Amino acid sequence: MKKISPKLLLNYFITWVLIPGMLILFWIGFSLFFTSKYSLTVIASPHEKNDFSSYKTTELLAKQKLVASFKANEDNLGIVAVRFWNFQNISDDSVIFRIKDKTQKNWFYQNTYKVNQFQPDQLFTFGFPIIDDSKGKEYLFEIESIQGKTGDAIALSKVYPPFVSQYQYPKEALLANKGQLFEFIYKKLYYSFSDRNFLISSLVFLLPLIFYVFWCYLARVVIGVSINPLPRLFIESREIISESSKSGYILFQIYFIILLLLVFLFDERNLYVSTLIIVLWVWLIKLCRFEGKVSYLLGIFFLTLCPIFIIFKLNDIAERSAMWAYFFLVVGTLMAFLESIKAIKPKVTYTAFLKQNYASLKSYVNKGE
Amino acid sequence: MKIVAVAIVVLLLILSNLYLLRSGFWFYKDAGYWPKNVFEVYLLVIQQFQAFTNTGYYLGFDQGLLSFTRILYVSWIAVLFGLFGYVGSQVTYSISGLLLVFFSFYLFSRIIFTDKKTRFVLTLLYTFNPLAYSLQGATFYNAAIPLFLYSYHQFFYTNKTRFWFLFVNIIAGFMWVAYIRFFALDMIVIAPFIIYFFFQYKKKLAYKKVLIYITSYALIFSPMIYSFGMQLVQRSATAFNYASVLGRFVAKDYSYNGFNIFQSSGASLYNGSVWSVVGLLFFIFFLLLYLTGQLKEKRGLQFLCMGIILFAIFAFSIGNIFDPQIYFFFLKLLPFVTNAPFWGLYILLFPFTILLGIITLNRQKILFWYVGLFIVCAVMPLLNLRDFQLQKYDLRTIPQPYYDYTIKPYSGLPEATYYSFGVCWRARYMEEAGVPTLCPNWGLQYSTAFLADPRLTSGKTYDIAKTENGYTDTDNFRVTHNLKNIIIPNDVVSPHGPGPITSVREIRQIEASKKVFDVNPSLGKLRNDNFTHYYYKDKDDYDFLLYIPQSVYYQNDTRLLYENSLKLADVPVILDKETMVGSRSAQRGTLSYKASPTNPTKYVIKISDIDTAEPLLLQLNQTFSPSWRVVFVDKSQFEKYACITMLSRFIFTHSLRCQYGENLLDLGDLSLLGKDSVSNDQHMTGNYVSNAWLISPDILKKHAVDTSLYAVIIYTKQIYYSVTILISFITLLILLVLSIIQEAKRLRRTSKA
Repeated sequence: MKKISPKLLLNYFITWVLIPGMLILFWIGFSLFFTSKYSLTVIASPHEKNDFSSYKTTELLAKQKLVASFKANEDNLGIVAVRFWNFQNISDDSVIFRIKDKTQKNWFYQNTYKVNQFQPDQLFTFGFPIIDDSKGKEYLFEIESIQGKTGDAIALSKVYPPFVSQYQYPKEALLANKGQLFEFIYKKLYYSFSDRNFLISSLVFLLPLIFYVFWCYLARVVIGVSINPLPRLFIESREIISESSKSGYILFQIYFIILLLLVFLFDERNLYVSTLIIVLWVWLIKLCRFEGKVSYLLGIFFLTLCPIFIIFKLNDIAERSAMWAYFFLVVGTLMAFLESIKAIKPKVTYTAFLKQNYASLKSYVNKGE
Repeated sequence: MKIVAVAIVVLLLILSNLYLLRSGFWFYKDAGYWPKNVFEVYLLVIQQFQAFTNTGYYLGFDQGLLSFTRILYVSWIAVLFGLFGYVGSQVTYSISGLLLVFFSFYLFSRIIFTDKKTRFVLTLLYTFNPLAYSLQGATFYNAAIPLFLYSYHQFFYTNKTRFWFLFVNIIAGFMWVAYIRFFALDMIVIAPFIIYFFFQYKKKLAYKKVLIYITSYALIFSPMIYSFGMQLVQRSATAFNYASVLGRFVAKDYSYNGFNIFQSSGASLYNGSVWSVVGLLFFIFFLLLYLTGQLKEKRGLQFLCMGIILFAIFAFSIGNIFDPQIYFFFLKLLPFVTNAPFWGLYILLFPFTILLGIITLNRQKILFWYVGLFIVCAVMPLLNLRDFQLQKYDLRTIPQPYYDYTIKPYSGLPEATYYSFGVCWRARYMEEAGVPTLCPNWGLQYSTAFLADPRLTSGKTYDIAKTENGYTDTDNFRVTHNLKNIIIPNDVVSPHGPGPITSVREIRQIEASKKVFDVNPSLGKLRNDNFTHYYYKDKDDYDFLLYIPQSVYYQNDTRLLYENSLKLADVPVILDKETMVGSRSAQRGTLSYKASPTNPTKYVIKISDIDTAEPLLLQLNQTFSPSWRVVFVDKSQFEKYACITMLSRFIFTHSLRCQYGENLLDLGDLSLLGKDSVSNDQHMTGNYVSNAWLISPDILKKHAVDTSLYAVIIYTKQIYYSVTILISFITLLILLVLSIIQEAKRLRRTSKA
């Protein structure tokens, strides 16, 4: 039996344990702490606009009310977060928030809030004393404007979900009871992954790991060790990958699919998600030595999507598409500048990029046949 | 070829002004600020010469940042108005603006492009486009960048020092600062280009030229430098009004519209998704040309232009991309660039046109087609003469009350008037004529008592103006704001298009307010079909503009304002609690003063029958500023200002008043600076927003002649401001003369050669 040297062992450890482990931690950590809008011990459940007895997104004028009822999915109800639109104005109005058990006559809690704190299209949290045994009960809340007037009022946002109920689990109780802790983790994951935005952003945070795995294969030689990460069983697919990956296009294609998901389905703003996408694109440019015009090409692609979405009244998708178009145009301009002062020497022109991607896609189709 | 080019320009000038060529007055949104008679032109002009102005308002404001900046275009309006009247001047102003833009860009383009056809086509694009049609025909703003850069280039990068180019550069500089938003916007284009020139020519700027340039600018722009500089020195909150107004909300629009080059402000002719798509398609095609171009030539200029374009789009989208905290951070740095999305696009137009020219250098046909199609699309909405925004109105048919109250010239001192639901409402006659809403821009006889424009004022002056809307307990405003009239509309209808917000609920409120005013025993009533004019029955018996208070109320909050509690016979003043001047009742003297309706910066006063053993309180109900001073003069100085009207006597306030003649830019005021005045520590805010002085017995004894005291209350900043204006005019004149002499010599030399 061939003896494995300590150096090789160390290399295997770094390659297959340390780096992937760190990337898995990165994925879990960022998903939990930088994707979820809620505290770690909070479970959030979105509600529908049908839960409002009179759903309207026009101005909430003085004495007018927004009334909604919902069934609590869990115990420990402590927050109702409602999504408002402020018409891009700082209104002087205040609203009264009231909540009660639907079967009760008296309000359980009420308070007044200045609406100048409401951010456009963002959830505003109305907190109240935690209700320990809320699960299964129906609650009714109302929001009443005190002095809203035309041109100086707020309204419900059109963005989904219109409101979210939040259940706060006490940290001490969770740590004391392992059974409850596992149940909580299950529920937390269940509710989190039911959220489309969470799912997509988590996928973005998984990208470095995916890239790493593919890159290991593509690079073959990692930190001086020859490795073959893919089992023989998948030899065919490996051939596909290696064929297209000579120039690393498989990475770009994965990246591009995730980007399309962000454009089409991700309707939140997340600075960490955006930053990671930007960093990965810069890394891809460096890896594949794309010229600046490749970024321009992508910019034009995303900008071209805009008129199409506008025609179909999908303005929010057009909006996201425009934002990514802008990013690629900026990168393209910076790259072109660096190229002009000869600070970088790209290899892949935009025409070569188009051709090779086309060839790569064609090879998938042929293999598929 | 030349004839074809001229024909194209003329045709486009006509097409883009077709709606203006019809008879009538165009007043959509800000177009309504156009003067309607010679008197309004006169007010507009003299406003440029005042550091502190109250044209259109009862309370005045320090113009600060806005001082003297509009002198060039106001003078041009005055010339055109004199020649063509209010309808003709609107048309000629717009056409002359477009012509100026055309020639400015054509001249500038010579620096970059050699081919005349390319220059001509690019100039058409720069001149006839949605942005140029915006701002209600005030197209000349677009000339500022090319004209400034061209003249700057010619002055610094040609061998001889030609004063003509410096003169043109200064004229372009006046265009640049004429609109406060463009001052910031144009800077974002001009500054990088100046840096580009510097590196492009790799040539040291001639020391002599730099010195001449800086000195000329410092002297000619001294009124603006002084006026704004003083606000900063005095730490006036008003200096940053624009930033605070704009910082009240996050401006958001779909980011894709940042790429949409079919946008307009003022008359919104390119709204809606169709124009978004068209604008985006033009931009996408432009990017495709950039992508497929060789881009070997003028690389530095390419990056410069693309950088500015991307910055403009970033500025447009910033409210969408970032959280409000980051947005507000940028807003503080660049208030006009980041705020209203549309403005960012003004930065884009210039680099866009140049870059298009560069990337089509070897594809001229594509450039021609692109520009042709662009102009056809851009002009199209202007040809829709049925568009609500483009409707004109024959002002001669305006209902008589509106003419009397908002247009008819009035040469007396204005009367403070409370427009209970704002000065602007959509009246029935506008609806019947199918025209936009006309908002009166001048107060004339019935000036609005409150200064509710957050761009012009701040602090309590603005807070009070904002909260008074809809109040019915207004009697105490007689003392604090010298209030004499209340006007409430009778003919208000729901709004049509952008304009004042008057909902059914507010219309109901108007009726409720009338019921309260109807039963107020202090008020008399004049009613016409258009509005109800309530007036205080004793309005001719008091004058709280300038008076000697007899009783003092101490209060910090403004509750007292919204009551009917103050008695006129007490001649009260409200002072801050901290002030505590010591006595609740001051001495009684008789005040005679002379004031000018066109010069709110100077009041000449005489106080008779004073007791020099008692302190004297003096209250000027004009916006507080440390620049106001009470300067003691002798009797001859008082008599120097001859009354041109009868003396009015006010029994409640024991005062007499007459008007003196115009004395704009009176350099004699310089002599006031050396004279004794009431010290700053005796100058306080009275009636919340105005000026009160406590004159001690020592001072009275020193300056009183027998039992009379003579003084001039003057806005001292105005004295220096007048001097800077004279310096500015003299320098400009010298520069013009030098230019003419130099150019004449040059012409002679050329013709000899």
